[in-house]
Amino acid sequence: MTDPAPAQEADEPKPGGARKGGSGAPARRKRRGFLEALAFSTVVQPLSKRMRRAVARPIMKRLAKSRLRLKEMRAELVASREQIAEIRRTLDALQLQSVRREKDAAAAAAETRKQMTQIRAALDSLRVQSAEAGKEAKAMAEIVERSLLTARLRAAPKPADSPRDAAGG
Amino acid sequence: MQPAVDGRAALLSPSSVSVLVDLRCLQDPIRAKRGIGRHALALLEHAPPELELIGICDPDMREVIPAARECVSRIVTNGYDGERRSKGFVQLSPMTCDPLFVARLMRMPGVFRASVVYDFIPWKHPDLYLQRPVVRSNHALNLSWLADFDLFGAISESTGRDLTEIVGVPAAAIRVTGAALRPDFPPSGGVQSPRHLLLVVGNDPRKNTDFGIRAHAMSMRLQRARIPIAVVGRFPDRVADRLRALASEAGGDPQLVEMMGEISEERLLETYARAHALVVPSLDEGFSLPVVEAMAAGVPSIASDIPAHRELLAAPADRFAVDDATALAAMLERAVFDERWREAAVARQASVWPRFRAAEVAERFWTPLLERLDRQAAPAVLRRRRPRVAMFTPVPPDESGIADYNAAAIGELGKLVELDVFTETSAPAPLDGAARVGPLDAFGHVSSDYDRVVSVAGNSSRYHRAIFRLFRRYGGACIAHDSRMLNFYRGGLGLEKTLALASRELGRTVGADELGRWLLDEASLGTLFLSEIAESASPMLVHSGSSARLIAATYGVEPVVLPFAAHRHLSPAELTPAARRAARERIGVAEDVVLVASLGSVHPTKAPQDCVRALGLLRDRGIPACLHFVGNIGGMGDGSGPLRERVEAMGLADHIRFFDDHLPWPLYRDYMVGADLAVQLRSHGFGSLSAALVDCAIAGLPTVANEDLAAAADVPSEYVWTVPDRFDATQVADVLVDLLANGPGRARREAIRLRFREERSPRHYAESLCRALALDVGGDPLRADAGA
Repeated sequence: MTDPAPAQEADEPKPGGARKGGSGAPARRKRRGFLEALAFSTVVQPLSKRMRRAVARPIMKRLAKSRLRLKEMRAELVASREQIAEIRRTLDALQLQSVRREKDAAAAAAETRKQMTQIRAALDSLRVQSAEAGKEAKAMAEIVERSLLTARLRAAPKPADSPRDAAGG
Repeated sequence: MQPAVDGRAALLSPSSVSVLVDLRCLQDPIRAKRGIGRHALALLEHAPPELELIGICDPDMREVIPAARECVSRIVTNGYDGERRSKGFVQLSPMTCDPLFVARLMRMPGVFRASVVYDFIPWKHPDLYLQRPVVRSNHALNLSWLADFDLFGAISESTGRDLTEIVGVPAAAIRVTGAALRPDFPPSGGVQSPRHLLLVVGNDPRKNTDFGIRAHAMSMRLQRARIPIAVVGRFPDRVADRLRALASEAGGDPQLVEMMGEISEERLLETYARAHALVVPSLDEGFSLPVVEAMAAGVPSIASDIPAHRELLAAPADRFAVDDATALAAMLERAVFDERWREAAVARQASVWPRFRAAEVAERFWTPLLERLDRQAAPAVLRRRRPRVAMFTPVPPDESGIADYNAAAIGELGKLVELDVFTETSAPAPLDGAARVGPLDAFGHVSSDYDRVVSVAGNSSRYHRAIFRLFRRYGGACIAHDSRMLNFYRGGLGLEKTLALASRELGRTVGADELGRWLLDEASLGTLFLSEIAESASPMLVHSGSSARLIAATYGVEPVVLPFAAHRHLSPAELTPAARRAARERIGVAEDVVLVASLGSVHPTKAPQDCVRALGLLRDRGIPACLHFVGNIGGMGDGSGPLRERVEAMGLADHIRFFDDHLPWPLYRDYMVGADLAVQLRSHGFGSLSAALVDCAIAGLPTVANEDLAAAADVPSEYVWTVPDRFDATQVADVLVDLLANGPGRARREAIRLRFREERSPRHYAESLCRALALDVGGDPLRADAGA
């Protein structure tokens, strides 16, 4: 960004020394010097030294204030730039973070899906196992019931006229 | 139900001895094709003609194979044999089916029990066959029942020895029969030019197929001569690949291992015919049918040196040790390249196989059984005790008409027999007549201590499901209280079962929509849902002759008619004019009003709308009548509102009374005593009974009933007059007027009433039940064996 050159007394040194510029800078300086010299010779030179001082004093004061304000603005500008840079960095960081999060989220979703698949498979397997265990338990319960019935029947005395007994077998 | 087959039945002489045979191993079509099934079928096909074989099949399994069906005179669906008509019981496969199914026969006095015994391979190799606790426990249970047989037909000497060692059966009770050759052996084609060695095996480590394959692969001579080994038996592809790989590892050509799979009998015969020799490397066998088949086919057998093979192959040269593949390879080479050895082997083995022809094996099984049955014909032991009966029924306090009814019957039945009652009813009320009231379980069914078992079936799924399940499994007598069982099946056994039974009974597919219509209107019912009871019961008992006729026409089973008993009684003193006046006063009906009662819960099938219209007609004719529905109107469901509205609309609200709850007995009795007339109607037939109509008859109350209902209850026509089954209100009103004008009017015919009361007394019912069960309770001692 190029700051506009402040109005300057012709006899004052230029702030910051020689200005950097393009190839037209010496010409502009030369033209400005001419205008300043013309203004001086037509407006200032005819005034008395006292008058000149009286005219110049408030101008100088305003000039000083302006310079001060300019300095402050420059400082604010620098600060703003830093803030902008900071914001940009933050934004970049956030964006990066967001991208990372998206990637992480996608990876996490994929992982979750994988886990869900595994869980489903495990559940299916458990269901099958459970059904098999249920069948097994039911079968075992039936056998226990049969065994109990058998035991109750055996507890009753065997009928006396068992053919094997009768046949002596 | 399977129809009787004339074939074998026609051969039976009048003096035939009946023997029950467990056919469950022939209800499984896969097992029926294997060793057990083939042997069992051979025994049946060659049973002596003097035996009447009665097959026992499990109704929950598939139909028995037709070949077995032709061997028996009839099929029964349980092992009840309440009247003990059979003197013998034969178990064709003791280790493969639930022994409790026939447990009653196993302990019944006077029954001689014989079993075929195949092997004890699972018991001797539990790591292979009895890994799961369920299987192990089941096997142990079956073994324990095996010990209870009287005679054992072992298929080999080694099985007989195992039977003694493992089960403790004395050698005297064992007969070695061998296993029966199939009828297509010996093959008619003879031996052809040999091309292969033959392994007839299966995918079972015990068959030791690997060993045979390895020995074949190790023989360079066999490999060079390109002699294949044909492996007959069902193997999964991966096992077949593994066997080929095994041959390759042992230095053989895998292409020479010919996995033939399971092949037809015809092809098996061809395969035998082209074999140099049969090789059987089994680690254990009960018998080796392939060895005998090969002998019959003229092919030499070489087999592992195990007990079952030693019985068939006496020469040590024909056996090999199962740990020396090199020795077997040498034997295989000799079998292929030494023709003289082969001829000699065929010659020395030729005398073995003829004794395993089916007829000879069967004779070795049946002859000792016949001898024992002849000895069994001695007079039965007489026991001087009352018969014991197990009854399965709901009892009070269950809110079931059947529970109340049976409580009265049990009181009288208990005077004639030793009666144990098995019931699901929680906290059953004390029952006069019952020696014991116990929780419902199968004990009463399987214990032979009970001379008879009686189950009570009703159309309520709430009270009869468990009773029905046990009855269906174990059989016995069955009192079918209701003339149709739709609600029981739909509510208790589910839609699928109900539709399946309906389809089976009607011989066409019945859908849920049609079933839904039947449930809404029982008059449209397509079938009775009584076929399973008819199939399992011995005998089936019903309470009405018309129901019995319908069942006989529908299912071909003749039920015994057991006239419905009156379990409510009125003495003459309760029916005096003074008692009747007092009853009417309690009811609140004036003397000059004709009180018409309709007893029993109100239900759409009882035509309450027609009763209301009939009352309107009576009043139109100037008869000062009122109508009381003496039962809970809750049975009308959503129909109670419209019924009440109709009564209001007809201006009869002051002359009709409804009850919103069950009536206490004293109030119900007041109506039996105080009413002038009764109306008892059913809009559907089926010979269904009305206990309320019997109550009317017991009270001598002049009643109008429709014909089917009156016939079912067989009530006195002197005071129970009828309308057609397709009645209307006018007809009902006409008969009511007729009863008043030309019948008994408001009087009771006491003599007829008392005679009917006696005929329908619970005592009479109990005696009739005993007669139907063929129980002699007339004072003579009961014969222990009714069939003797």
